[in-house]
Amino acid sequence: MVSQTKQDTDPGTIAEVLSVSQSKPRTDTIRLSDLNTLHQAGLVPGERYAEAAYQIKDHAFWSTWALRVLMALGTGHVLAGIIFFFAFNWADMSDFAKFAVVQGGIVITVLGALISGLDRPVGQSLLISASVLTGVVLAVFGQIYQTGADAYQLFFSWALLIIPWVLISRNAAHWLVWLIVACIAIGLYCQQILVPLKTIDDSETLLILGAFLGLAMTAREVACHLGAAWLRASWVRYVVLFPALGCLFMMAVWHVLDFHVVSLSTLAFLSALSAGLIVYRFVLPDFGAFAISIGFGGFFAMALGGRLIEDTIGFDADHFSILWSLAILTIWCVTVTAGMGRLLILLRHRFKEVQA
Amino acid sequence: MMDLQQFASAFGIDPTNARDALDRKRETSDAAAPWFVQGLLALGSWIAALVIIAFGGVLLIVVFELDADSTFGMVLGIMGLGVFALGFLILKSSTEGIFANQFGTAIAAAGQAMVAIGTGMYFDSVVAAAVVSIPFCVLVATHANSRALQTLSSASTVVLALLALGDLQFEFPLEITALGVVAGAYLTLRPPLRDLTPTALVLLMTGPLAAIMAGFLNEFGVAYSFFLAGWGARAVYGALSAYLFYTLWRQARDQPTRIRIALFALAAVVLSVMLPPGGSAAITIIVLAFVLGSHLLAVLGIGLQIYALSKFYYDLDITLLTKSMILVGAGIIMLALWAVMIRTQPKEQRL
Repeated sequence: MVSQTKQDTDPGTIAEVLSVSQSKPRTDTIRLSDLNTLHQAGLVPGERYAEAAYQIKDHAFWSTWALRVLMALGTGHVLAGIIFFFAFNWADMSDFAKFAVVQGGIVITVLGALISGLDRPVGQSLLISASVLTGVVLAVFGQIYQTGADAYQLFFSWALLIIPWVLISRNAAHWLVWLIVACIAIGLYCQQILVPLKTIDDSETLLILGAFLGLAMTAREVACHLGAAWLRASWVRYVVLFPALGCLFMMAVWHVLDFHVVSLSTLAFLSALSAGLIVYRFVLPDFGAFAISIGFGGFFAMALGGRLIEDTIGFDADHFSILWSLAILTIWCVTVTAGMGRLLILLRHRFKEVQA
Repeated sequence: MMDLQQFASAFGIDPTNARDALDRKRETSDAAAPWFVQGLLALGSWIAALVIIAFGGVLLIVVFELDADSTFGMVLGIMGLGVFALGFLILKSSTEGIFANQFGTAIAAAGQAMVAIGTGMYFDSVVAAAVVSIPFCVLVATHANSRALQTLSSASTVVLALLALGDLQFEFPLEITALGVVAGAYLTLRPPLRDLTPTALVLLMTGPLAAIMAGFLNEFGVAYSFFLAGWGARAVYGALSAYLFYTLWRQARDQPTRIRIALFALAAVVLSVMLPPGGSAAITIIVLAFVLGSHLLAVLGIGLQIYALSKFYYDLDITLLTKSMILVGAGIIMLALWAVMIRTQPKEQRL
């Protein structure tokens, strides 16, 4: 509850919280990392290390942890055993039984979610399970009736059907599950429809996925701004930003290295990169998101350097130019990496000052 | 939980010295860049290192006109030695630069890999590659102040050692990897003065790593099915789990707690025997995490257990029905233990 309040008031970043927490004055309680420090300083002998670890252990925490792990692993093993049992008998089961098993699972998880309460992690986890089982029902439907539908239709239907649950559960992990299903649907639609029709090229799928993830990222920022506290955890931002920029980055690098000529891809990447750098530096200061953007920018600069070297000196093995080219490329990569490091370390202090 | 004063008096340490050591460590941590910046720089350093290696390779092929034969292996090995020495020197001469540290690590690790590959090519033997890696691993563990390099060096040596075991058609490879886990547990429970945590962690991962490699190599048609036996390994994991609980039992003061610990130990031994070796190894790592109170080992152990479960599905040696019975049985043991613990939980939760 406390952490939720912290997230509500301060979107912050995992990175900042981690780095700031290191400089906070700490209590005198000894932790395992402190024990390692004392041991390496020669103050605790190796033969007494285990005894010391036992003495400093938070016994209440670890007892609770052990019980939870026992329950979770025990339940997990039993459930896995049941799944294996059904898998063993799957071919011999009637169609009715197959549907009954999976749909029964949906009914149980939804009822469990309602009983547990959708504001509690247990209820939200059960609703996520129901969303996953919805996909299984669609797969079983396709298997039994052999509808001949393309796989993308299954994933589109799946994404559409679970939208209400995603919205009412108000859980970031659930939203990410939906996003993954939607991305698979879009990817399959591109591969199964747009590519065969030659509307797009095979590799342009990444461009479309990157654009979709960019839209999702924008929607997430707007929703947070409008008060959707459940999406505010900074890890959600990183989990979406990284693949969004990654897809566009790959297309742009292919373009720069001349593997594939879609000039729009470099433009799209540079636009997304600029937006990321400006937004996470000035509008929604977030050092982690800014560092991700800088990283992609730096690696793009390395690729761009490689292309420039190829166009000017070349990588021709017959004329030894390859040796010069590789030497210059090495210096360029080292310079870019060192520059990225210097810039990030410098800006880290600025971000800290802004937060302070 | 203990505060510094209590801890110092219990272990006969001067509290001022302890405070100084902790403050020094804290200052270093505050000055260090966040992990993701270090990761970014590591990636950049690796790219730079790979270009350097490509440079070396091209130099050999274009300038010296060497083909991929034993001579090439020898020259690659000698070049690797130079690259390793360069990386080592960068690490030794730079104590604070983040980039230099990551760059030195990447260069030294690449150098070790080049020596191993070169030796393997020269002798046409993966065993030779594994053997030549050992002194590098020892040198890094004893002289280099880079945890990343120690991790890479020991991990590559372990991987080569596993490949060598496969190459030699050694009859009990999983048992050997289980002994690696024992060595890792020993280094974790009784650490030497020098920081060997990365090596200990790699050794602890050896058992599960063997299972991963067995599956990976099977996909390429290499017959590694003998990796999937491992009754001896299960016995080793069971015994190790029992020993770990014994260290707790020794320190527990009251009888009810000792009985609870004994029940845990019994369950761990039974589970180690029931589950496949990957699962048994994961249970042992979870137990070690619990004994030491290590969050890192806890996450690794649980992750490995989940992975072992998913791999178990593809084990072709037994039917799905048998697997189902094993899993339900293991789950019932865990849930029964959970129920007993909940019912007998003392007010002071101290295991």
